[in-house]
Amino acid sequence: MLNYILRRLGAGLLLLAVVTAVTFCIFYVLPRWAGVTPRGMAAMYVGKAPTPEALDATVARLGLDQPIAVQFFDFVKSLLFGSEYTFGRETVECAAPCLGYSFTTNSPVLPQLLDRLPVTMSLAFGAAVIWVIGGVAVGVLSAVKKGSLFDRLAMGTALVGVSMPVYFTGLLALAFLVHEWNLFPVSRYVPLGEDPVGWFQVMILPWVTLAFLHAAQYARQTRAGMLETLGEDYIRTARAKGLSERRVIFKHALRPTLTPIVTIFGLDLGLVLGGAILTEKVFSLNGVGAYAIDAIIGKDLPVVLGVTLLGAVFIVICNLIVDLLYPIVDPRVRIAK
Amino acid sequence: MASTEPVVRVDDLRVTFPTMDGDVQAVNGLSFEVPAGGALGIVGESGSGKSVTSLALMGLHRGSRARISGSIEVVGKDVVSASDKELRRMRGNDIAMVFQDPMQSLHPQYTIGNQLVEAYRIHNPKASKADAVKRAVESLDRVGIPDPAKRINSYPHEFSGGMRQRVVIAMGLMCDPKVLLADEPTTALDVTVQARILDLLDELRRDLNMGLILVSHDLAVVAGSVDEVVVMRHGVAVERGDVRRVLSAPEHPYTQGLLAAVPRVEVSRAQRRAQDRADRIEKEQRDGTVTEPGEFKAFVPPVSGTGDNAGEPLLRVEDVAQRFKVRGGTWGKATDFWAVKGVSFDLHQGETLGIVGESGSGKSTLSRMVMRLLEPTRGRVEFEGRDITHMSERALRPLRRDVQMVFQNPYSSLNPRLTVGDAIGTALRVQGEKDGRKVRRQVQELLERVGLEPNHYNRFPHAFSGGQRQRIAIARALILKPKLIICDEPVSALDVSTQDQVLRLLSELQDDFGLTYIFVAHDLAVVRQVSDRVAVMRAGEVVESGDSDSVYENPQSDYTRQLLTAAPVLDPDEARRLRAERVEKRAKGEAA
Repeated sequence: MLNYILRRLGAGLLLLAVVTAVTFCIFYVLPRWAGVTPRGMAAMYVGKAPTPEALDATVARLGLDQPIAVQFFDFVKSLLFGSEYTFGRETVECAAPCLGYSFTTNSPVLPQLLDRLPVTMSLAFGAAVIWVIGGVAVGVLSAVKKGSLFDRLAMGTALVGVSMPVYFTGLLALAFLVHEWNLFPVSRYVPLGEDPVGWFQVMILPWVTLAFLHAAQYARQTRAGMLETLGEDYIRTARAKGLSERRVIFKHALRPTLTPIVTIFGLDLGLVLGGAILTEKVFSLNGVGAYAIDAIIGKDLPVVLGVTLLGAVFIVICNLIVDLLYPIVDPRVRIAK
Repeated sequence: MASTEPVVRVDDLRVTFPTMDGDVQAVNGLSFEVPAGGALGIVGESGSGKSVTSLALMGLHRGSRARISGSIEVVGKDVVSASDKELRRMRGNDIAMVFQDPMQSLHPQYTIGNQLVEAYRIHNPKASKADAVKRAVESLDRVGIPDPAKRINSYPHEFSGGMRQRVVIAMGLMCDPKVLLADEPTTALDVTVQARILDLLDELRRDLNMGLILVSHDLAVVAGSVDEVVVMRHGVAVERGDVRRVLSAPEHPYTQGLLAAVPRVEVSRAQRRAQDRADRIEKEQRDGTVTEPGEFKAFVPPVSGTGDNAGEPLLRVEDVAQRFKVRGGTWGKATDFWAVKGVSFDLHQGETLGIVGESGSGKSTLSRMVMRLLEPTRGRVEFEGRDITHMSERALRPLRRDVQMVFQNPYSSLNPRLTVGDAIGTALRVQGEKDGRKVRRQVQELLERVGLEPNHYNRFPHAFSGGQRQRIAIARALILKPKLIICDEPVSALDVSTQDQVLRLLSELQDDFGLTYIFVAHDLAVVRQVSDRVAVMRAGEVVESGDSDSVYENPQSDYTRQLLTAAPVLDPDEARRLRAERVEKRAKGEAA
């Protein structure tokens, strides 16, 4: 068992290293291949309209005229040990996992990301709870009452849910629930620690909107999986033991049905944690996703790079957790001895 | 309770399934009784309604569209009219069931202890968990699971097929049921394992005075284990009576036909061949289409005479071995697993070599190496004097037409999206035939030869029964006029009567075209009847080989003897004698 954990951890770290290398290639190597000069690169980092002197200074500071290998070394070094940026006499420290320095906001990227992370996390975890519980519950009910009115309504709604983008359902919700009928307050994000009730009131709409999209998919998956599981021989065995239908469904059929869903959940949660761009933008939540969009529009490359890496870290972590949970969910995965 | 009172009484049972094409009568007016401690066999081929009957006994048709009429009484309570709650109380408590496929019938994600305890506590809610666990350990011990107190925490995948079936039986015994219903309990198991499970069921029935209903497609499986037998066909019991009487003097023509079709291990290759040839001549004389061997010129393999080349074998296999890497262990380090550990044989044209073995014996790996679907790790394979052991895929291509294969499962070995004509004709096209009409003519001629009709050319596989599909598979193998055909369990997925027809077809084709077969199977009786020579495999090695009559009549190795005593036989008394022999031998083995 310990062996398995160590192996998964090793694989996770390796994956992170690969993602880092690929990200580096996208942001440093590809532009160079495309014929962008160090000055041109510097322009992407500095943003706005800089003077040639400022550009040269940036080229020198970021080492953009250095060979690629040296640049990669510096990149990894600043990730692992941090680095310093000097502006004339002023020195700005960028601590250990240094994701870069944003010249638009004149500060290191990571602290800004961490500032916005609570918002994104509130959104992601809240929505995840809703979509998992809602989606699975609807899926199970639909499968058990296959062909009933509930089943058809639920699956119809799910189809609509899968096909409607967040910026449509979200704006609809905002227009009617908030502005037209005043069911929810118009307010800015408040941290959970400061005002739990306010936090909940602000977050509930974004949660439901984001969850709707995912819940629809989970409901369909659960229903299909449940129907397949109910046809298995071991379900017949369970019935032949004299178990009640409820026990057959919740003890014997649900667990195999959820097994593949755990895998998808890990991926989905990781993705949303890396920034639910559309939802954050629609509901004016100042999270990681909204930050990324602003950076892309403002050509603030260090931030874009930082968000990409952060997103990768979340996906790797979530996958790692799923991998570690898997042997508990499905004992067949456990390695012998 | 008076012992005359039956524990199961089924009266005029009818089960109807509504379908798009009207109602299907799966069971039609079935009646039988099982006395306490008695044993009844229900025998029938696929579609006879035997499984529908066993599900009906458990009330497991509830919630489906099946319509049930008549009465099913289990321990005096009527299953048909019972409420859901009453029915649940009966299931597992009065009547327990053992299913066909032990690999699928246990929940893969719970320990066997969990599943056994659950079976007990659902009917004894007041029992403490510790009591239930104690009972589960006893029950596992009862069915012969070694070290039950420890194994109770294992998951199903940590057991072999035979052990899993024991676990399922142990689960059935948790609440001391009055009746044990076993639906094809040994069909998915090896011969020796099958014998053990049947012995166990027999022993349990006697010791616990339990009624036993044994459902099977195989008369030989029930012969030694039941007192009374019901033979079903198309939902109707065509014959019912004492097992000795039914098997020795069957009254109904269907039973007679079924009995005649069961391959018997005491029938030799020569006897069977003579019988098949005589039947064929008789049939053809009746039809007025007497054929001489070799008349179907289109399919005669392009080989010179058959008798004079006895010196040069068609196939020579020398000490071949196959190693697989098994992953696992620290850092995914691979360990070696030798599936075949050095097998040699020669095969001459027109001969049949039978390879017998249980699952995991390496018989399929061996046939794949001969086909060169696998490259042997060691050794040599020579075909017509040419070394093909390490030949490249490209160089092998012309040889592919000479060696063909017929697979076990005719349901999955035909592409459902290809018409029969395409499935068979593709091989011709691959080998370079461009004229579409010529392909069609050849395929149709061949379809006729294997007992199908030329106008089946444009149909899809789903329109055919299992036996017909296997004929299509044989036609597909024959179309290239191969010299050697490897049949990997070609009849084990088929009903007995269909099995007989396919075996006859293979024998006729051998007569007509001088074909050479390698016949891989686990069924000893079938192998004996088709093989000139036999090799018995176990754990990757040939433990015994020789001409089939001497291997069967005078086996040299212990393992062959063990296989032969485990093989089910039709004579109830002989079956009981063999059982006693096995039990004695096992007792001796345990004492030693």
